[in-house]
Amino acid sequence: MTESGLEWVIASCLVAGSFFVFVAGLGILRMPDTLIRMHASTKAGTLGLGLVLIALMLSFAEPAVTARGTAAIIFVLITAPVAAHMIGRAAYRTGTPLWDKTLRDELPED
Amino acid sequence: MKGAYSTAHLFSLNIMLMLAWSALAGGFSTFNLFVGFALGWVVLWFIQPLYGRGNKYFKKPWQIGALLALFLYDLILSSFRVAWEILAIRSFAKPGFIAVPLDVRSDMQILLLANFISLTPGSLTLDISEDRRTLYLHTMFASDPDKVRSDIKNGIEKRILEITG
Repeated sequence: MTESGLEWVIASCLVAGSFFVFVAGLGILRMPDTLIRMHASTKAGTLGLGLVLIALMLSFAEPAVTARGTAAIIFVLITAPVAAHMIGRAAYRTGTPLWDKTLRDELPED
Repeated sequence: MKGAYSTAHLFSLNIMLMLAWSALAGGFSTFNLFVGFALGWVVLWFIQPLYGRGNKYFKKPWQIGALLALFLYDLILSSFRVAWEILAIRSFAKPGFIAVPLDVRSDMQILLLANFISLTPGSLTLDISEDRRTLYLHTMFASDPDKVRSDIKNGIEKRILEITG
């Protein structure tokens, strides 16, 4: 790949990554209840961070940076859902109010 | 001799081939070790007729690769849906709770499934029942609970069972 071609890839990864991280942050402000906010922060946040890290690895192109970047991506993929799960479960067990439109048919008894 | 080699046996052979390759290539760098392992895997696959075909060792990488691809696809798709939901002025979300009966049993399988669900379009693992038979999730698009359930059961759960079972 040519030099400027690679730069385009890096730039698009950075812009797309920043966009998703921004959307994740905006989602936390805009969404109606805790559980829906967790959707925003886990999914968009994970993808955004992953794209930024990929851009970083491509831009440095050094084994040490690539190894750390890959490890960081793997750990985010493993831990982000667990964190969202813990926060979501805590919210639902302590009876945080849910959005009016939520369907509760299959809500666990507990 | 058919099927006489276990997966662990083949794995240790693969490691030895990897070390041999690295030694002959003149350095144990990460790159050499990686190439050595990949080449060793290909060689072992190639000489299968010598010790019996159809070993699980050669199926797993494909299955894991397919699971990984599905995972990335789901992550990207769900990010776009969530981004759209956040940026759109009108809301399309219909949040709700869904109970999914589980076929997976072990801790590792449940962990994989729960993590996977949390990163797939609009769903978030919330809790598991006391008897570990039912997983409760919160989803952003609950207009058709049966479809969400069957997507999970026929998609991710089936693949996880294939790989770990």
